[in-house]
Amino acid sequence: MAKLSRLSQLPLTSKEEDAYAAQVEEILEYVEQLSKVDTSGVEPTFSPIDLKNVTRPDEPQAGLSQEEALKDAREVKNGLFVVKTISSKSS
Amino acid sequence: MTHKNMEITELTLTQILKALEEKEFSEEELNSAYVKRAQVLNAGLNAYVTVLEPYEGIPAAIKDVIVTKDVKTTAGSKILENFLPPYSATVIDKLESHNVSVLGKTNCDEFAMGSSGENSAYGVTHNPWDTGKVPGGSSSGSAAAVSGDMCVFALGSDTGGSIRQPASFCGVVGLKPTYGLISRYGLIAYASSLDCVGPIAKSVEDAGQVLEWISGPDGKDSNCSKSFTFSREKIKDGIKGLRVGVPKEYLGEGLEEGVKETIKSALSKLESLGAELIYVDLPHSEYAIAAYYIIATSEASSNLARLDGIRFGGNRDLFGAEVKRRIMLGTFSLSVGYYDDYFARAAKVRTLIIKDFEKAFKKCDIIAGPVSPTVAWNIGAKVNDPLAMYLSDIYTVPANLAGIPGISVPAGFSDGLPVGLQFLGPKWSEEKLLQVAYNYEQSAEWNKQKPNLTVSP
Repeated sequence: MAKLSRLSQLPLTSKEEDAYAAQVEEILEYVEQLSKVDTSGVEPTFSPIDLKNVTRPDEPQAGLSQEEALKDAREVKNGLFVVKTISSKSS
Repeated sequence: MTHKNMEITELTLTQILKALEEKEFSEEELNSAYVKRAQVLNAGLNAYVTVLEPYEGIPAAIKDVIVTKDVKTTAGSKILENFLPPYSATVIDKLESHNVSVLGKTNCDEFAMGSSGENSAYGVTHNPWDTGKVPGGSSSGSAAAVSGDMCVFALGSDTGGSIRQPASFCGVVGLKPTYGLISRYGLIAYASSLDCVGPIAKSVEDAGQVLEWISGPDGKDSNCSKSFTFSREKIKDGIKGLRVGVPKEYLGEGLEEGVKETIKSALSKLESLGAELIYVDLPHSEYAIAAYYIIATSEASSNLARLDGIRFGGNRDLFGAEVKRRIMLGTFSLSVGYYDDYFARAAKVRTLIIKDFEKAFKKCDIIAGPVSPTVAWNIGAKVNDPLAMYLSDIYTVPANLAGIPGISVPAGFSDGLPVGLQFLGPKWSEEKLLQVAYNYEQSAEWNKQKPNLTVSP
């Protein structure tokens, strides 16, 4: 659970971890039945329709202004989104 | 045609369009009647998160997972409590170009994850037929709003049954279209290979009208590129000789007796209309729930990663319990060492479910059966048992896995609560699907019954 919580970027309390552990385990036990199905030689389906590239002429179209794109951000600085530091060097 | 003895809010979309044309009432009168009713009834039903006050156009309710420019869009989540989208979904633009106004944004299970309308950060929505019961989910508020005549029609989204099941529980019509028929640009994504936008309406003809307005290719959704023709007049043709397939698996174990009886009498009705009933097999249906909850949660774990609290929305600890559970389940299914046993295997079972339908549709034109194994349950009954909640989607998830269209039509009552009849068709068969639904509806007229909701003058 601690690993899943980290991979999912979901901060969990230890009480939540315990509750989820039991529920996720029950659900996984249920889905275990998929192993009974003979899937040898069966291709997986990732989309119900045939995926194809859709292109349009490369002409500029109106998009969001910088102001519109930033208006829902929690923190903006110099017209940019403020993000957490992902690499730091000591200085 | 005159409706002098009926309240404006009781009329269907089709009747309203005609009445407006004949100037029986004005758009302003239409809007003020709906706004008033929506505001009064919302106190008890909690169908809307936001009620606006339009004064022109056809007032429609929009599920709060569909973005509306500068109108708060929460997806039923605390994390989007203050989110004001900078643009509108394609379906909203299309509706507005057909003189439809947004009356309000409807409550729903958080990020469309739920089968009861209870997983919303904005409180439970109540079933208009019995306020102690759930309205179904996840398009809980949209179905309740249509059922309570709090809007002319509504939009919902259906990833595993989220339009059809609440429509069934609330006694209204709900259409999940063929995957790729309606643009999802501006629909907050849950599981992209399953998500569909569709109408919830007071009649089959109304659903067909909305379908005409919102379908068609959109350069902003690459899965929505095929042109589609649909004639609303054709749905009124009779169904003599139509082959209706009944899957044995949909009438078996787990189906509540009252629902079974209702569906059986609906099937007899179809027969009396000239349809031919044929039993068909969908042998992999029993694995649909397991495959669905692996595929949907895997896609959700990826889609919901965009909620990082940086560009919009709050921190991830604001997600509710069910959303967290599904993100973790999906993350697990996709993680190293488990991918083959879970995600890849579910995707193969999905292929087998699609093949089942292809085989069945060689024998029949349309499939008929129940929408849900039960009628609406008591609020709170399944909140602590996520697996029991998941299992209630048994008859709806196969259509999403296969990308085929499905519709729920009112078919009567069991224990005083509405039962929905589900029709499923091959991809792009909406015309035939609505034709059989329309014929059934007109012969049975269950949609003329309304819940008893009092609005003091």
